[in-house]
Amino acid sequence: MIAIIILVFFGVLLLFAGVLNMHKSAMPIGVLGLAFALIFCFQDIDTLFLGYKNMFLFTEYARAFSALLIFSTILVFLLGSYFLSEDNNYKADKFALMLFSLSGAITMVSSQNLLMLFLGVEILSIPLYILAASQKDDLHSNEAGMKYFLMGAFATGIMLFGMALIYGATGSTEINIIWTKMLNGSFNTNLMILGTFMLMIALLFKVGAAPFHFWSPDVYDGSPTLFTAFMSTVVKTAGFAAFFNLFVFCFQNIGSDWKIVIAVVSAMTMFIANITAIYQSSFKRMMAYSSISHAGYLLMALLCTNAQQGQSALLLYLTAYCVASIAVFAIFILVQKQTQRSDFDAFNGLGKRNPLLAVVMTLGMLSLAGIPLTAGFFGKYYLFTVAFAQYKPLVIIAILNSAISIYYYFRVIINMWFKESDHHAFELTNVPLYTLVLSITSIAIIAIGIFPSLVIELFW
Amino acid sequence: MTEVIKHVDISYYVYLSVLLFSIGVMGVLLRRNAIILFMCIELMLNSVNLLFVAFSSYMGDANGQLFVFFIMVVAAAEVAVGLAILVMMYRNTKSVDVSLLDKLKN
Repeated sequence: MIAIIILVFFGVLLLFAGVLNMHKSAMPIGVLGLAFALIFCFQDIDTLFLGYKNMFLFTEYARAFSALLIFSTILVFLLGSYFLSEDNNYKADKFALMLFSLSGAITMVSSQNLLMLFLGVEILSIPLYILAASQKDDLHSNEAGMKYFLMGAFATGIMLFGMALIYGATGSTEINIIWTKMLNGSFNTNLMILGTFMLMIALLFKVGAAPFHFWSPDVYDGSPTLFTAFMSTVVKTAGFAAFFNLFVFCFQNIGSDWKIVIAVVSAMTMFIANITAIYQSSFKRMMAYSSISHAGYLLMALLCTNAQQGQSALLLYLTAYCVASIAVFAIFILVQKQTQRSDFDAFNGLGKRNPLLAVVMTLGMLSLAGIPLTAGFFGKYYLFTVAFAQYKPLVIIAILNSAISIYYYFRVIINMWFKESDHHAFELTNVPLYTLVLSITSIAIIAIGIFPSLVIELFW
Repeated sequence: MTEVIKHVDISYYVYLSVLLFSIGVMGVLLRRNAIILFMCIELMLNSVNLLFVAFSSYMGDANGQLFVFFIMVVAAAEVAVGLAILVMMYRNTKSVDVSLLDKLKN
């Protein structure tokens, strides 16, 4: 709760910095605020706000995911000052919007009431519509913003209808009361089932799982790359944490019908995303499909029988996914800014020109593919163990899909190390802050890859 | 006031909301004019408001009406952003037809 207050306060501060034309100092102020918020995630002084526990509770679960969200945002902020270096008019406002969006994400993961979940989703999404469309004269960015807005608003409508039906069925929007009523069986079954499914569809929309994924490649591709990195890490993390919070902690008792739906959606998402990703020629679009396929794996966490085990697996996978994605996007921003290209061939010969960047990129790709000794391997391993007890065929499909995904992840590695650069050789100049981000992420990838329990022990 | 509402059975309110919601959904899926899409999304949200208010007064519980206020506030904020994006799109394409936005397909 205090973390949210700090984030919003610093967001407003950044807006003032924008008004006063202090765009250079926007990033350090933002990182300072995020660092404060991160510290308060580990402090247990939320007793002040216990009066609001029907709406909002900063539990251990919420704390862990908030820390991950804030950590990812700090890394994205550090990438921001170079990415937005040509933008001298709105830089501070863009950082402020990211902070507001993050406060929505934290509201989502700590919500104890459908009302707070709805508000969190909206506070998360509305700034992102603006960020996706923030390159005003670029039609691609316009398209991304418009599509994101229409799809987001449409999903919100479906989610609200689901919430209204659940309210009608149980007489409350509080997650605890809904849970108790479901245990007693004192609810209207038809309304409840319909409501749950509409809520599920809306959340699948938000996390970008098939068949509701069609908006995300376009949005990820059209948005400025920095905000694509933000969307594919922070939004995905918040979406899954809220999904798990609602469905595993609350709807666990409603029967296992919704779990079968999730299992089918998960398998479908993995196949569609991985097979489509193979045919992409643009690296950014490939990353979009890769992020959809990770949504497919992550849905398996919802199938857990033991909530404790499920939440550990979810946290570990999301941490591994976030650090690897940010490392990959950091290098992609450097390549894109300096060569003005975003296809696979832009990476040709990177291994010779800047071996250090190529090594980190290789590490990131290996982690996303789930190769042992990287964080991604243990992420996948724990996730598969969670689902293995009841859904063996799904785990086999997931392993098959991990094998398919190796094809497109290794394509980048092969381009970097074994192909000569086909255009005039350019020197990739490194930026100090990027070196910092890349070292943090590569240390995290290797450390989690060797001691996966580090992440879990930090919180539970 | 609650007495007046209760003369009509709750199921009729649900049917009406479902009807309005479906009109909104069909509009979003079939129309290509961005302004009409925005109106259809508003229709979806307002059908939800109606449903919340109906359930709320039948159960004598104020939480549903509280929810409606939040939906109205958020819908206003959302549409403000949406219209800003629409104006920006109009500057670049001189049209509000969303089917013109197909530059990102491979």
